[in-house]
Amino acid sequence: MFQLTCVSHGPALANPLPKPLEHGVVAAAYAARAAAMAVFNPELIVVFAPDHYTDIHLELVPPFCVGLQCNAVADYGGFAGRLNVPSELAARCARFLRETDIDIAVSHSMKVDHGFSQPLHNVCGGVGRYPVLPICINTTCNPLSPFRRIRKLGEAVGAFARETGKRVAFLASGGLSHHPANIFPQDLSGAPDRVKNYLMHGAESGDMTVADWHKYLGEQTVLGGRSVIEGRRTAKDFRINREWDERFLGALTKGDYSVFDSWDETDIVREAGVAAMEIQQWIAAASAAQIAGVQPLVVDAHVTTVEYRLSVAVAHADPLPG
Amino acid sequence: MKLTSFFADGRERFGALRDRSVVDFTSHAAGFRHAAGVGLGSVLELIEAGVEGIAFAETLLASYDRDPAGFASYSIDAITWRTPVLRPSKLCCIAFNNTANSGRILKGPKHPALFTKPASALIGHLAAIECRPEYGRVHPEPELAVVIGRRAKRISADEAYDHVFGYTIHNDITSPTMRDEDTFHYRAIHPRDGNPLEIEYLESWVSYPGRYKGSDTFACVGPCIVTRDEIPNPHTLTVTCHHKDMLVTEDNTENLYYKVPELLEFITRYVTLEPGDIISMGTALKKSARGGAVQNVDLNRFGGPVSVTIDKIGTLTNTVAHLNP
Repeated sequence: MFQLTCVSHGPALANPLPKPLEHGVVAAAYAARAAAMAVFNPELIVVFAPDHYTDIHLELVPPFCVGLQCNAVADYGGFAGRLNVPSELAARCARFLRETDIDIAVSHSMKVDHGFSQPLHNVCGGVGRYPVLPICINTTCNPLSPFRRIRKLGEAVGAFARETGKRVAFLASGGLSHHPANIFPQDLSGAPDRVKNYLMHGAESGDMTVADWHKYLGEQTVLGGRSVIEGRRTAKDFRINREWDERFLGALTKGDYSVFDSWDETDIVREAGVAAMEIQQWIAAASAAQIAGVQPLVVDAHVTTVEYRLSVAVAHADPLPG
Repeated sequence: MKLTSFFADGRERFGALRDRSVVDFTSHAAGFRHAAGVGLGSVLELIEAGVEGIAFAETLLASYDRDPAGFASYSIDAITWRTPVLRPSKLCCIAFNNTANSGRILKGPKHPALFTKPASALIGHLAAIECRPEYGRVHPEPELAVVIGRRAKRISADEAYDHVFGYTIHNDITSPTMRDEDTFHYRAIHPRDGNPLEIEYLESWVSYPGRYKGSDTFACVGPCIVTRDEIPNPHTLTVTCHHKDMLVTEDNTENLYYKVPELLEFITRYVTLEPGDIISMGTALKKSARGGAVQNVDLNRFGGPVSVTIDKIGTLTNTVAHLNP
């Protein structure tokens, strides 16, 4: 039996300042998914989420990576703790994927941030509550993988999930439209040296520790909130684009994920921001769930208020009857 | 949704009523925390979680409706009922809040009169009201009770319902004997009118309700909390009180003198209300067609059971236990 949950994540989502009027809608949608997860009581959760330069830096960027062991760090909006990763099963997943022509990387010591830990905390009751298979899809550092490969990855994971014979929940973390390009620059030329060096080499650069980086992200989050309060930045600056979101959600609910194969990264970034590419996490998870077997996907909430500095959505697909 | 707390199978639990069963939420909620870090492991925590708590509980109940096999559920005949919120920070009760009282008040305030009861006085549905010989007369007072959902301090009447989580029943057990014993007719000391450095004595009355309203088991509350969405207007509800099989009072909450919005505005000017707190709206005391009054029901002399029924909420029944001095 399988289930799918797709949610946005974001530092400002955990502690929105300013808090939008629509926060109750979002919080209720998360809580409803938490209840559904509790009822489903998964034997395994496969999480698709990105890293935000906590573990992966530009000197070596795997397109996708499965963690055989994993710890969540205490970043702004994140929840620290050891993920309950069944290592042997994770290794078996990696072998299965490679035999299916998906050359996934592995990490024997993965570190994840709020991209993973926020939905695990909010939807699953904690990072260590259930056995988790963490799959990090790079949606942060250029170049990204084409959508067709993401769909194929998801389908292969779905096929693996079926083979486990377990009750598996697929959890996607990311999106929708938003543009934190000042924090995660695609072009390093304008970034301060210490940030540039950290993004390239991580703490090895000697300019910033991981803790410094998380502090920097927290400060940037607070500054982002202040810029909204003071009216210096608007939804347009964050490329929050309701129309684009609805195009994505509309296509997703139709259930033919091959339509995304032709979606173009350049167009998406122009219309919906650099981090809108996190929809790849949703497409991978939805593809996995579809192959494994779930009911049609339903959108529970979609809020495009500027206070979050991102477009927030929650969606799910229930288990098949019986 | 009707939420309650109960004891079954060797442990404390909470859940929602469905027909003649209680659907247990305890195991599904264990360990979950809403965004602000509060758990969801009790009725109080669900209330504190606000819209998240409601959404969590509604989703659990919808899942039960689709597939009951995924839940533990208990017959309502097989549980020990607790008060829905086990230990609210306080019960705030409104005295003389019925239009029928106006002819009885010889002198009183021109605003709501408020007293509080301790959480240690609480008992749930079907629990026994403890009566001891020294309590003298002990009578029931059937009341609609408001359960607070969000902290409220100096709120306006317009905002009041935003702070209401739901409604329950309070049988405000009262001992008029102890009230008489704990009432002082005395000379109060005041600064002398016109000369604040001197004093004068003024004849006065004061009564302390610690015993006659706050003794153990004197706050029967339950059997459940009905969420606000199911009772859009709390001032259209019939309230009846039965002693044994006799209908004692039959009233309607439209007869409450002060209504929920103005009461919450008044109370929160002085007292901050916390999630789970109970506001008892005042006694429904219109006599039934057969006559009598709640004051005629001496539980210490005649025993129980005593029941309070309110539309859309249910029936709260309590027995009486006669204890030694």
